[in-house]
Amino acid sequence: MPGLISRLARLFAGKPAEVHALMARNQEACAGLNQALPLAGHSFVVLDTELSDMDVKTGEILSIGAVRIEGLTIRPAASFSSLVRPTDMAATGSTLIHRLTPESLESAPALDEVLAAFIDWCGGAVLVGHYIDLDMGFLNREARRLFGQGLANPCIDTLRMAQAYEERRPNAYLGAHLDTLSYSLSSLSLRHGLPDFPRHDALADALQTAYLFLFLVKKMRGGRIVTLKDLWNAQRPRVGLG
Amino acid sequence: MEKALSTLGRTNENKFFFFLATYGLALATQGDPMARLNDPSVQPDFVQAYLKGVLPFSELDPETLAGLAAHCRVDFRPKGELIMDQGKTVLDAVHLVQKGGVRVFFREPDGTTTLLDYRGEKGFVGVASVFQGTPAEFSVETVEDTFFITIAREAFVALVAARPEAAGFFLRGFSENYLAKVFEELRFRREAGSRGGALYARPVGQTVRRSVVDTPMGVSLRRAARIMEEERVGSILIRDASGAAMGVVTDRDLRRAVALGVSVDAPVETMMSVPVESIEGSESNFEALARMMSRGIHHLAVTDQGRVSGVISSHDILLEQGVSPMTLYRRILDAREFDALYSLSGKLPLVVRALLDEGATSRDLNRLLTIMSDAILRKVLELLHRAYGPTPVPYCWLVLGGEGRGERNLASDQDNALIFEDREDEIILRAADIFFTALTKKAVEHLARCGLPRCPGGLMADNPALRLSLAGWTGRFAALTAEHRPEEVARHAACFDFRAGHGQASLALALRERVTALARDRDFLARLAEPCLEADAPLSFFRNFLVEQDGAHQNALDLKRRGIAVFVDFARVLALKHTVPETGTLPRLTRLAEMGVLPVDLAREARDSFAFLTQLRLSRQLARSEAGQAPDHFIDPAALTDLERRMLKDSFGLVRRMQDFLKMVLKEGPRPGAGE
Repeated sequence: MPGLISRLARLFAGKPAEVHALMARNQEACAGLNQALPLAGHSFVVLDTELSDMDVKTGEILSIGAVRIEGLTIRPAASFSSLVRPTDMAATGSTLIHRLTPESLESAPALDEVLAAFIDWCGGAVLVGHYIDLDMGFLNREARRLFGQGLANPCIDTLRMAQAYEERRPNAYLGAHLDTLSYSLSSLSLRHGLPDFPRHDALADALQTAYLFLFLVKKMRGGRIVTLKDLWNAQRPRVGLG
Repeated sequence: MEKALSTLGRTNENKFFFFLATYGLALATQGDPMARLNDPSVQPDFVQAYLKGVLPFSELDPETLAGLAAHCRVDFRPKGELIMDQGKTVLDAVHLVQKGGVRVFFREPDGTTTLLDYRGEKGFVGVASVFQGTPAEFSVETVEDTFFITIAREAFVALVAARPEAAGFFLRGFSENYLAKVFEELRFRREAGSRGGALYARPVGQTVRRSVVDTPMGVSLRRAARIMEEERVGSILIRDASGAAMGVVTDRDLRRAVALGVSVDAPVETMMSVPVESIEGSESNFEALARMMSRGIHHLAVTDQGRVSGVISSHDILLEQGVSPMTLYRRILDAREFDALYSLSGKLPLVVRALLDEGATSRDLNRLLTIMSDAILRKVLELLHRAYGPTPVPYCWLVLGGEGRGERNLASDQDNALIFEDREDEIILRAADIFFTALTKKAVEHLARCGLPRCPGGLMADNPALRLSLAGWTGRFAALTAEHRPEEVARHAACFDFRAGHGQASLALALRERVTALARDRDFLARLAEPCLEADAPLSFFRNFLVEQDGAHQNALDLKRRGIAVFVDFARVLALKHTVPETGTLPRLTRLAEMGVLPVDLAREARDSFAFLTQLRLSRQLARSEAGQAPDHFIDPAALTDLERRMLKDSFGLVRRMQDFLKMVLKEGPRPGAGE
């Protein structure tokens, strides 16, 4: 199968006018992914973004933070973090929420620069995020706008992992209604006794998510998650519960 | 398959619900107005920040620390996972517990396991295995879901190779540097009021400001007084024809000359004090003060490699100091009534605090407290003699236990006894009994009001059983060394630490000689050693609790019973076995090592541990006393710093080694050829 993928990739690479070189590299890097390999053999990038507005139609990315996991251990030294200069300073409504001041944002690089660097930095890693749909919605929108297409990296959502994990062990929360349990990153971290990153910028939240990811990967299904495929199956909500 | 994966992050169902669940709480908690500018590029590296709080990394410069942090990873191991398997696992990274905890255990050949340790946050796992690259010598298992910061083998080995202080930390149980650091930490725990100059630890040579004022012998008293006046000094050094220091004349000597009607034209050497009490300039100010106090003088010649380079007075030292132990000591000596003595005794904690802040160690402080309480004792007896007249029979007041060892602390109680000369005459003996009964009753009462509570065990001179003649005491010790009830031996163990407190010191010395001969009995020593051998040091710390042998937690530690007493007992048994005359624990250990009967390493570590434990106790007692609480021997493990915790842990570890050594030594019996 990797052979097929690389042939496909070469096919795409043959049409340079249609595929941005950056995205071609991204596709090439993601093409060799083998789901049957043990997790320790995969590279993961745990990411978080800060947004001016949660609406994927109007919001802008204000910062990106990410940290790498290899050999199923977090590598704090391998991290990515940058602010992004918004196109519309006046409309950055969540300034207060993120404590990002106009000064710090104005001196930041523009998104095309940051995003290009980020996509290259991720390479073929599996992307992990807490409710990553939201982050990917923005990242893919911008990647399409700037570079013609979205990211090819597969994604894993720690929020869904957490739900699947807690739904499978209802005894641990006997008496608590699952639907009222908060799945926010900080609630989950508190609930499972993870080390705490009190600051809430993109990198700190990415690190916090990385801890949650490691925790869940090794705790779900009694530690029997070995391959990427196992993980993908495990994070699916159980049918009939919800 | 790829298709499935690539859609993994792209489904948008329930988006709004998730959004609220995910970010709702974050929104609610992000209103911190004090938050600093949030620039991810200045986000402090959390690994580096974490290492900064862990010994020995906290000692590294930021650059080295950042380099080390770059080689760190974060690993997660669920509860119940074997991190190290005895004889099998070779770790490729040192593991530091970030959150959670592990249990370290040894698997015996018969399949049972022995618990060695619990390690919680900031605890190391696998150092030895990583160092040596050999399979683990024991097993380690997580007892909770545990996050580790791991340090790659190469980075760890490189650090240890480049940083001897870090190597020392891992390779030796104790490092003197860290001991010094603990002391510093203890000293500066109370930030306010500390001027931090470590004045008392400073060499006395640095406190001497002026060059020496001297005069050749033969000049007149008037001439000497004029020189002193011109130079504005309180003392002058008299040199002989060769230029060597002969003696010293002080203000006080001049006053004496006037009072005695000595001619001002008389040669100066008629009034000089000889020999010149001197101190080498490299000794500490504290040592100088202690020497002045114990000799009852106020000036010392300061020497530089044997040559007199200056004169220092107690005043010189106290001027720089403020709260003055010398003043307190002098006022104790000058006290004319008991009430004054009581209030002066109450000032002892103040002086201890001042000294502690200025850099005195527990050894200095114990000595100071001992000097002070000896002075109080002398004063009490002196005042009593003024009321009761002289003793019918020469006697010596013996101090026992902590005071006998020169290890008084703020929660010490009285341990004392009385010994008098052997007499045949019935009448004299009866007179003596009446006299001593009254004297000791009063003395014990006054001492109690001077801050030395009565001994609950009744080991006090007002107990007739502890008021004996030399022959009586010899018989008593003979009976004690033949005693078979271990609790009786244990109850009287403190008696073996007796020392002359006041009176006829020769009596105490004579008794010491006889006791030394008696106490070498092998069976007696075995009984005496029992409390030390049976003492169970806590296993370790886990979080803020002590872990006991059986794994139970406890949140108060009796420093005396669980720690200090074990060292005292250990040193006592060995000192008696090897006829070491010293009574102090530190001098005993030093002496035993010098004699070659105690391994030098063990002696050094025991001394360090003992000094640490007594210092810890004293600083805690002081804090309690300053808070208006009664000083005691307990500490709360939760209130310990990381460093103190490590030192305590090492001390507990040492207890087991000391016990093993003692067991081995007692089996050997008396050394051949060491007979009387």
